[in-house]
Amino acid sequence: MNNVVSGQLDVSEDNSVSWDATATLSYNRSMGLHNINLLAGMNATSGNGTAFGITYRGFPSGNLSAPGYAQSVYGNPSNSDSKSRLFGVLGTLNYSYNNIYLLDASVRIDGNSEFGFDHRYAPFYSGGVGLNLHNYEFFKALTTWVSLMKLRATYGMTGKVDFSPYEAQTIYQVLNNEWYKTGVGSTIMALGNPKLGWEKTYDFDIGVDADFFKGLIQLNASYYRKRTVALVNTVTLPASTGFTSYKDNIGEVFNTGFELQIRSTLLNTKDWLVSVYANMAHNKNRITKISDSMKEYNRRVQEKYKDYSVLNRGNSDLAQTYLQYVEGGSLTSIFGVKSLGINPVDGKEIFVRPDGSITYDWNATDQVVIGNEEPKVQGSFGVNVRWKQFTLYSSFLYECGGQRYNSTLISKVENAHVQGENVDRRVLTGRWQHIGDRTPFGALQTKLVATTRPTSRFVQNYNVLSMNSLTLGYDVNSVWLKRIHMGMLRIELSGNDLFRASTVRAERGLDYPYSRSFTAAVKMSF
Amino acid sequence: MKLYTILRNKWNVLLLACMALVVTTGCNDWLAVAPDNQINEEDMFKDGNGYRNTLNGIYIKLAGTSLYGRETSWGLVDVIGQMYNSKNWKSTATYFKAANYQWDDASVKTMISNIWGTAYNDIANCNNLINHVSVEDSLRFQSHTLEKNMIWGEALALRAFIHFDLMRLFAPSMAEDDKKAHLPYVDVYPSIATTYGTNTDFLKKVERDLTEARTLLATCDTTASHKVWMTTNCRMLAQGTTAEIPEDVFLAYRGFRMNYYAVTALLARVYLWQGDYEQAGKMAKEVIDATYDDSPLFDFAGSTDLAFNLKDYNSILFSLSSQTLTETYQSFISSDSDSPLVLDATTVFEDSKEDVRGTDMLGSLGGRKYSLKNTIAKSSIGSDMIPMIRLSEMYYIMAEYYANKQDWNNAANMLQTVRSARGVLQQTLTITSKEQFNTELLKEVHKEFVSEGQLYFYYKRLNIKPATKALFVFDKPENEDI
Repeated sequence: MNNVVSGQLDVSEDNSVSWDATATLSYNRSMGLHNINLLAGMNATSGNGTAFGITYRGFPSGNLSAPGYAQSVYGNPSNSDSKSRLFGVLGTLNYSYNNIYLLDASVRIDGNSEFGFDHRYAPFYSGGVGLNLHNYEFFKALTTWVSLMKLRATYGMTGKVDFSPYEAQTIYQVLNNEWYKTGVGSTIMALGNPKLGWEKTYDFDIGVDADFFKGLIQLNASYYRKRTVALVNTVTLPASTGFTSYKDNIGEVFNTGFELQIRSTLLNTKDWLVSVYANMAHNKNRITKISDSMKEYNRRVQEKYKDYSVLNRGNSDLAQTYLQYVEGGSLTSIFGVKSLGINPVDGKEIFVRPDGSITYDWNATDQVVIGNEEPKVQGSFGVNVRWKQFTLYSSFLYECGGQRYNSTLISKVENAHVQGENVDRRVLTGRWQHIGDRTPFGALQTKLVATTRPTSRFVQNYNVLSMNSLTLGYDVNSVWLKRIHMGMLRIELSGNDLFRASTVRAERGLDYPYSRSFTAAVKMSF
Repeated sequence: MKLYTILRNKWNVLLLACMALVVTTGCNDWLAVAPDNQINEEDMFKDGNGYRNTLNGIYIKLAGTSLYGRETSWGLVDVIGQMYNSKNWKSTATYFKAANYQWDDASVKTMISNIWGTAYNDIANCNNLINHVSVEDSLRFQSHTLEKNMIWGEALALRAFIHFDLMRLFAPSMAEDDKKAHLPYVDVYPSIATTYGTNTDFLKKVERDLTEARTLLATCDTTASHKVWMTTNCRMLAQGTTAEIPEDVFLAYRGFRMNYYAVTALLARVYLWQGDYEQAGKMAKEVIDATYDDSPLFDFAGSTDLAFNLKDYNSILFSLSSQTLTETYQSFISSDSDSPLVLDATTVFEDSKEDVRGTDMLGSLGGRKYSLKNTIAKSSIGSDMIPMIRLSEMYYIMAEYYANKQDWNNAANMLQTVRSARGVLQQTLTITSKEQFNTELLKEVHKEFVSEGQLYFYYKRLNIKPATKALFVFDKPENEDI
């Protein structure tokens, strides 16, 4: 009885029309040492898209497969539709005097149909000043070895909207695929948050760009302070609210940091090219204000650990750390209860409560910031060498000053299930067994293994150095190539992640084997 | 420099200024576009139609496969009520794991989370509708007060109905009540946090909403001019003379919506769950005794008709509707299925030759029997019906009401009324004890509610396990946590 009706034909059609109109007006003028550059413009774009699909089933034969031969239309035709419009006006001003004093200013107003009605327009602005020290006559006279020395400072505000209209207001979606007995239906698309506003970032940046000895040492350095207000984030919700997440302005975040870049070409001759580079960045992230929805989220995080009953004690989910949002904390904080380690007397862990008292009991409300995943400094460095036709590129990555929560240590050693699975040696050697044992892990548990909840005992400093890539290449002599009518022939050997050293010993095992890749390539062109 | 020369021409400057003016002033409207099938809240409730759409939407979601279109009727809930014979199911099948109460299995977990998530989402829809309808001017609706009360009443009743079934799944029965808070009764929209309530508090709110709904719906379904809408032809088929059936389809098909009698019957169900036999009996009796033109409003189809009227829509008080029901069910009664929904027909129907439910209403799949209820050909009468509350349940509630008074005779009579309607005339029941009554009641429920998701709740309420390792409470779903 199978295949009584055979054959299926899917027909789909997509249409989209979009246009983009831009009008700009610019004005450039040099008057003596003054140089003015003005620009005003507007921009409008519109996009309309429709898609339509239909499925036919049951055809007499492969040849007779036009929709007209179909026995029936299968399911409902699908139809989708999208519309968006954007409109913006902008103005910029650049001014310089004698190529020494620089001034920039810009304003931009954007309107977008995808934003809620109350937030349809967003203004952005920025302004900056600069000073080309090297163009001063006295500076030129003073130093011959400085070819560039520019000081700059900028301040600006940018806005960001990364949410959909239905996330900012209650929007109903028509359920056009299935009608009820008593008519067409519609349903709420998402928990719209009418209070949702633009995420705004105020950015202040000062820096210096310099070049010494005509390219021998190039240097860029900058320092920034960035304040993000009304940070937009997805907040998870208990499903009993009807939804699993919604968008909210979760508070204010302050980022400060610096960036430093140095490049140097040490040798540049016919046969040799040797250059080195290094950069370094530091960022500190601090939450300065949190919304009520985040306080509610924090409460739910603490609730998560509540059930430590005999039945639930073995639940390995309890070992997981969760970020909590606290003023003064960071978006990369690690939360847990401060620990003094394992008591040599009885093998139990001693916790420190926020008020300084000590206890054996782990309390969700005693959780504090016990680490931060954000490194103090991070960056990369490398050497590039060319000798005749041989080239060698290398790059290294480093970061230090951050922490990690070593949950593998908990699941594989601290909470190892000795009866049920294979365990490693530390389960035997690192555990408290007798009075006076000073050990990193508590006494061995058998039968029901109570999960170790987040504790500072498993926070480890995370410093890493890795060789990101190494490439060795050889270019075949072009004179020789010409004879066989080839443009280029290059042989390349490269490897990724060849070397890695870290202060956190990560057990990757068979689950996440460390991947080291090697590539050999021959590139040619004619 | 070229543009600069344009600027120097006064006319050009004027033209540009005008353009800028036109563009900036007309812009707000120009930006107000949205995809065709999305409507914001203000526009939605601008006229009465939006209210109708939102209410229909709630019913459509209820009839989806996560809820009564499958899992909470003939799917998961009947599987865990041991409605079907799961012995030959593949051990990898989700229903096999569910039949063995493996709540921690990933696929079972997903099913349970989906029930919770979809149900609470539908409740959120109810809440927003109630927010709007309760303060709306009745002139906004085409049928004025009648329609306002109807939409308001139904939204309240649906909120209570969905909550009550969630409670029957996620909280222990009253017999096993641990006085703990197991789930929240959500009656505000929007909400970003919910408060859990104990069974007692929860049931109070169910009762509150249902009582209020009943008062509102009485003005639609029990008045002299509209009661005719509740008759079987009008209620289930929207058939009748022009004078009888409403012109407007939204007012027709009362059997597919939370009507007054559905709410009354639901109250009976809720009171029974609480152990309030008096109130339960009173409500059930009102439904049984309801008449139109001196004949009963709800009656059973003749037993010989059941072979064609497989859903016995005559006795349905409230049904949902899904056009894809037959299709969804089909894959579970095919030989390819890893968990074919077959019944132990001989045991369940006690080898009765009389019982039409055990003969005409069953199909055969490789020697095994399965229910034909959900196999009605698409677009034939009844193919889309998902029975939620039946007249027979009212008789069973009456039976329990009498049994609670140890009036075994009347209790047996009530059970027998349904049996007779199903063709069982020769074999009669004699009941002498509570234990025997419960056994007989469970047997009847098993036969009557095949593939309708009620059996599990009977076992749970009576605290009798359908299988030795049976569990009566779902774990709190994962999507409730972070």
